[in-house]
Amino acid sequence: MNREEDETAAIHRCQHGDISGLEPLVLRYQTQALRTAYLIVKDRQLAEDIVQDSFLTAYHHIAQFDATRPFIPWFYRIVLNTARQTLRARARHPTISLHLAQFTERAEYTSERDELLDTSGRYDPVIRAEQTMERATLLDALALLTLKQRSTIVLRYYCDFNDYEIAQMLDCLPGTVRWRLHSGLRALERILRQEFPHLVQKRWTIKNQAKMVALAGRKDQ
Amino acid sequence: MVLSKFSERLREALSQTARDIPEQTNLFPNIQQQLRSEQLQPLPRPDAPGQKKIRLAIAVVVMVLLISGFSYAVSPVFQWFGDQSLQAITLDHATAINQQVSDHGITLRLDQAYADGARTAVTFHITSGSSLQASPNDRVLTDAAGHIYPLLSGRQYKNEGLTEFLPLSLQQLGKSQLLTFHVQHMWLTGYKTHGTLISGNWSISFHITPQAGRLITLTGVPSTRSSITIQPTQLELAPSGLRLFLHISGLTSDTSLSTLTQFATRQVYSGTTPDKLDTGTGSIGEGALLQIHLANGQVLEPVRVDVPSLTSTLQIPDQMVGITGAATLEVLFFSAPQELQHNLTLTIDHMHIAPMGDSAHPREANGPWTFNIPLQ
Repeated sequence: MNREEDETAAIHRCQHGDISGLEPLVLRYQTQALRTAYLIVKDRQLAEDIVQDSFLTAYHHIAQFDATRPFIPWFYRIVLNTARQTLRARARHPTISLHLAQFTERAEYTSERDELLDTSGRYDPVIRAEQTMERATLLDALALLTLKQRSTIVLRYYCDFNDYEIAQMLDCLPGTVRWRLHSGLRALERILRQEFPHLVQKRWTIKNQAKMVALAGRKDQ
Repeated sequence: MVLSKFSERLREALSQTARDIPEQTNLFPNIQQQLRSEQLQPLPRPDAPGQKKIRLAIAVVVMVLLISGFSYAVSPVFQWFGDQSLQAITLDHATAINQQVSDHGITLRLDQAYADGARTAVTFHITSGSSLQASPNDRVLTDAAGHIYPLLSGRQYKNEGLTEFLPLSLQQLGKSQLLTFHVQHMWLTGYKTHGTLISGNWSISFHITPQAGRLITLTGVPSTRSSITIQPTQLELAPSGLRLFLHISGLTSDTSLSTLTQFATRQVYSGTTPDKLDTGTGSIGEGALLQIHLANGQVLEPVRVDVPSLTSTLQIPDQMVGITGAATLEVLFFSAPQELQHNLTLTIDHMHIAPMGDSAHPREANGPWTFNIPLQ
């Protein structure tokens, strides 16, 4: 059986009340859905809760799903609705943190993950700090967009869905998708250019690199 | 070009950031446990006999009431596609047209229209007589004297749409006007097929009395920066927006008129179709900042900036300022009248100036020019 047939068979099992039919769908889509939700809500635990709830919702409504159609757009629509409802309930107000100290704390937090090595095989704190800071600031900057703009940008530039697929997931017209992408990208670029100009310019200066190395060195002591 | 490089970097950055979530995460055990615990809970009681039929009957009655109520409503297209000011004003002041014309099997029907000092808006319905969807490729509005009013915006969902044009002249407001809506080319498109352009003649004439607003003659002191003098001369407070006239002088005779209009513009529309789809859209134009600051802190950005002598005919794309060294700009803003109280502050941070024929490389004339505009 090929991948599509596996998926159709799994959906049919769910539609007949067999919980184990959900497992292949979870295993296949959970990582991408988690990462998508994480980029939208900026919080790993919250993203896990959202995706878990979304799989539960999908199971409860699986009888309404036409198994001849692709699962992902329907499932992502549930993920996005769940994310929207969750954020609304929490009424979060994200802020950007500008202090370098926070970035070095984050560098320490990520130390259990992949090591970044320079070409000689040594650990390079400059690359690590730059990448960690970029991740933190990108999430903060994304959080300053509207939920609709943020969702649209993530669905296009991370998940690679086209206008029509995104329109289905977000209950809007394809023209509305294009508008949200256009206005969202402009807003994001403006935020990054204003608050973190080095992320939209070409290279770190030697002065910046030295500063990051000094900070990383102090943390290690 | 800058934006596409930015979007490439964004794609890369999103992918890297997403890897904060490792692949090893497995949610299924928790999901399975949750589903199993739900299965152990008592099932909901089934409906008592006859309750299902009663619920269905109530639903049918509600649907009939909703549909009958809907049929008496003002054309919904203004509510789907209009900005907030247009949505509000057309609830009471739209004019029914209900005229149609057919050519090449395509029927264009104009449903309603609204006009004031900020815009003329028309809703329409198009049918192609087949499964293909028709949409106008070009739209022009003319008046009885042959003046042309260019397109301001156009949106369509399935067979229904809304088109806005630049406003009629101040002298035409408050009096019945004969306008004609022209389309010369229609696109026919189908699912997953390229469009076909059909040439024809779809013209519908109708009478409308544009709503007059309040015209304020401005007599403030002109402001000169970088040898350019600007003076606001008139402000029309229309029911659906503002129209501001600026007199610009101190220009060389070979200055390109169209370059003078290079200001940042912003049109944003929101709404929901009857089948609950978000119709939000908009457009953003690049340029210098020309803004109106309201007393409540709100900032209005123009929807459009034009030179009236260029827009009155579509044949001439550009002209020189001429020996007077002066030009008039017409600036449109969409806003609701209740937002406008007390005084306004107009600011212009800089202007683009270029000679005719070299408008691709304008120089910047630095401001700022700032004006306090009393509304009393």
